[in-house]
Amino acid sequence: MIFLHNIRTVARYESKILYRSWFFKVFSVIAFFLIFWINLAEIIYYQPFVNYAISANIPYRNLMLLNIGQSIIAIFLASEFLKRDKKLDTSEVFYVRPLSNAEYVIGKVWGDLRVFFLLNILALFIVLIFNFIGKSPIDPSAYVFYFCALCIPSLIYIIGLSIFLMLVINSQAVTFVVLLGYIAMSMFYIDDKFFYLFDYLGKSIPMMKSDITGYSNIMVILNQRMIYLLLGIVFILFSIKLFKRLPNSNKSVRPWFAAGFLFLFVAVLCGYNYIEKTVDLSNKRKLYVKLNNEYIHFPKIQPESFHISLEQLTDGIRASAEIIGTAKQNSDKFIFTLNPGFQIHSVTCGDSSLSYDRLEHLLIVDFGREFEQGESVSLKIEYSGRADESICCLDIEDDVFFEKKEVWGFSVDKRYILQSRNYLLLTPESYWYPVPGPTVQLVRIGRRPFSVISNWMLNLVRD
Amino acid sequence: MTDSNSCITINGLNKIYKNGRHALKDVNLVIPSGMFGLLGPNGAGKSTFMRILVALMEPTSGQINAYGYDLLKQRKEVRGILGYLPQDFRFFAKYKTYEYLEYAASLSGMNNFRKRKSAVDSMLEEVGLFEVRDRYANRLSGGMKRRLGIAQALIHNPKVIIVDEPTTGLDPEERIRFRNLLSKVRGNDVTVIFSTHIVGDISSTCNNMALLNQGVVSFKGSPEGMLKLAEGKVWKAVVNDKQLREISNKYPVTSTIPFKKEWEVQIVADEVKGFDVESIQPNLEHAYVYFMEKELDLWTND
Repeated sequence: MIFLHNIRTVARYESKILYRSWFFKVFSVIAFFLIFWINLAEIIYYQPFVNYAISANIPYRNLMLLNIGQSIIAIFLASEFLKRDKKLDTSEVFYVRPLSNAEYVIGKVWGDLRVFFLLNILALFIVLIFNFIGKSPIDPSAYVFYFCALCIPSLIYIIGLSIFLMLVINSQAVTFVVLLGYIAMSMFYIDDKFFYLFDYLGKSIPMMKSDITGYSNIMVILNQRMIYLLLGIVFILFSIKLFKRLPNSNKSVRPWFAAGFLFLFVAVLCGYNYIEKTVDLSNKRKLYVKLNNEYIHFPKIQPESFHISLEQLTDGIRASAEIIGTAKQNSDKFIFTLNPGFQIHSVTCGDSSLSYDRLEHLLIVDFGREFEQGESVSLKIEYSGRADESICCLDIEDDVFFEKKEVWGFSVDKRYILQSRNYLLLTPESYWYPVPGPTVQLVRIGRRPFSVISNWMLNLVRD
Repeated sequence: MTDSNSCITINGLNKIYKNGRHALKDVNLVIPSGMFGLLGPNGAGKSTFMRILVALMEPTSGQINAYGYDLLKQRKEVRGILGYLPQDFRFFAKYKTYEYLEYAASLSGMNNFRKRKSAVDSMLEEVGLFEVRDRYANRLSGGMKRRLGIAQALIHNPKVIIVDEPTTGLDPEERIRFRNLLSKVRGNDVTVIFSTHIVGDISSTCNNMALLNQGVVSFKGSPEGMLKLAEGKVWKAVVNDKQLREISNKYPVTSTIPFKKEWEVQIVADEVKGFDVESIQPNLEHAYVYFMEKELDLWTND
C-alpha cells in the first residue's frame, strides 16, 4: 500500500536525521550514562528498600526519570522538522512529490517516535542487566507495562502537542518556551490536582505494582493514560489539517480533521469517565456521612458474638453473619452498617424471616416485636456482592483522603479493599461484616461510640 | 493544434499576494513538449509562476492543465508527473548524497528496493556524482549540489521537468554540463520548463520561450521569432571615451570591449545618428534588450 510505504519512507529518513543530530546524541549519552550510574550506585552503595522489595519499581523508576527528560527533548525535536523544512531549501522538492499531507506528518511523527522508543528499549535493557545482577527478582511484564503506559502516551501526546502548537504559533522559540512552561507547571504545580487528571507524564498517578496483588487500580491507570494517548493522536490529526503545504486535494484533509474531532470526543469521554468516578466517590462519601448523622440516635445493639462464614467468589464474596448481642434501648428495630456493595439476601431470627430497609450502607432490621433494654437480640444476615471502597475512612476529610502519598519518590495508591483471583483483602474500615449502628458521624455526641466483641469466629468456605 | 494531453495549458493565471503585490497578471500560455524557456529580469514573477506550476502555491485565479490533469483539482496526479528543481538548492538535512536521491525516488513511487537502488546508482553516474555518493550532501560543491538537484528531479522519469534558474552561480563548465543533461531528456516527449534571467541559457537550449516582466507575458514564441524582431536593429561602432559617454546616454549599449585605445560597442536601436556604425546579426541577448527597450521601455544602461 502506497500510504504505508510513504509513511515508512518519511519515517525512515526522519529517524536518520534524528540519529545524526548532535542534540539527540548528547541526550542519549547523558540518559544512558545516568541510568547506568544510578543503577550501579544503588547496587554498590545503597538501594532503598522500596526499590527492590517491589521488583516492578525498578523499571518504573527508571522509565519515570527517562520520561521526564525525553519529554523536554521531544518538544524541541518534534517541531524541529517544521523549522527545518522552512530553512532547508532542498526539502521543498519533497513537497512536490505526490504524497499526501497525512502521510508526511504521520511519517515525521512516527520517525521521531520510533527513535525515542528505541532509546527507551535500550535504556530498559541496561536496567534489566542491573535488575539481573541486583537483589530483586525480574518482573518482565512490568517492563512492558511501564513502557506502554508511561512512555508511549507521554511521547505521542507531547510530540503531537509540539507539532500542533508550532503550526499554530509559527515560532519554534515561543513554542518551546510555552511547552517548557507547561511541563514545569504539570510537574511542580498541577501535579496531583484534579485526581491526577493533568499528569500527562504519569509521574504522580499511582502506578506501583505489587508482586502479590498486581496494580492497585489498573483500569484507572489505563483510563488516565488513554486520555493522553488519544489527545496526542488528536493533535497529530489536527496538524495534518494545519500543515502548510497544499494538500493533494482540498477535500483530502477533511477526513483527518473529522477523525481528529472523533478522537477528541473519545478523549473527553475518557476524561469524563475518569473524573466522574472520583467525583462520584466524593459524593457518595458525603451521602454516607449525611445518613450517619441522620441515624445517629437510632437504636442499636451491643454485640457480644459474631460468627461469620465467608466464601470468596470470582467476583466478590458470599457471607453470612450470625450476631448475638443485647439491646441498648427499647426498640423493635435496630440499625447496622454493612458495606454498600453487598446485596442482602435474607435477615432471619431463628426460623423467622425479618423485614429490613437498606439505605446505602445502613441496614435497619425490623424484628416485629419490641425488645427491652438489655434483652438478648440475635439475627443472621446473608449477603453477597463486591465490596465498595466508597464507605471507607469517612472520618477523613476529602482533601486528606485524596492527597497523594509518596514513598521514596513513588506515588502510592490507597486501597482498603483488594480482590483478585488468588487474593482477598477486606479491612475493618470496609464494613465487610455487619456492625451495629452507623459508622462515622460528624455530629459530636459526647464520646466516640465503640464496640468490644469478645466472641468472634470466621469460617472460610473453600471449594 | 496541440493535444491538451501532451502539453501544459495556462489560462488567465493570476497571483496576488496578501500584501497586495500582483505577481502574475492574466498569464496565458501553451507549453508544448520540448524545452521551454521563461526569461525575465529579477522580480518578474518567474519563481511565482514555477511554484504555482508545481503545486507549491495556489493561484488567485486561472486554470492550468498539465497533460490532461487540472492542476487545481488533481494536484496528486500532476505531482506524480513532474520533477522540480527550485532556485535555491543549497542547504540539506543530514543525508548522504545517495540517501537524498533514494528518499526522493522512494517518495516518487519507486517501491521496489532493487529497482530503486539501481535507478539511484545509474542516475548518480549520469550526473557525475557516483564517486561522492557516500559524502554528506551538505559537503558537496555548489555545482555538485545542483547536479544532485537535477538528479532528484529526473530520477522518476517525469513528463514535466521544471527548473527555476538552475545555472545561477554555476561556473561555465557546470552550466554546459547542466544544459547537456537537460537536453538529453527533452527528446522523450517531455516538457522542460526552464526559467532564467541569463539569456544565453535560452538561446542554446530552448525551442520555445516566453518573456515575463512584472507578471505579464510580454512575448511568447520561439527564440528565432524574438531574434527576427531585432534584425537590423543591432549596431557595432568603435568610439572614444567622449563618444562612449554620449552614446551610452542616448542608446542601449549591450557590449563595451576595449579596442586598441578606444572602445568597440554594440548598440541596440532602430537607428543610430551621429556615429559611424555597422549593422550586425543580432543574438538573443540583443533581441532581449531591444524588446525591453522598444516594447517595454525598461532598458537602462546602468
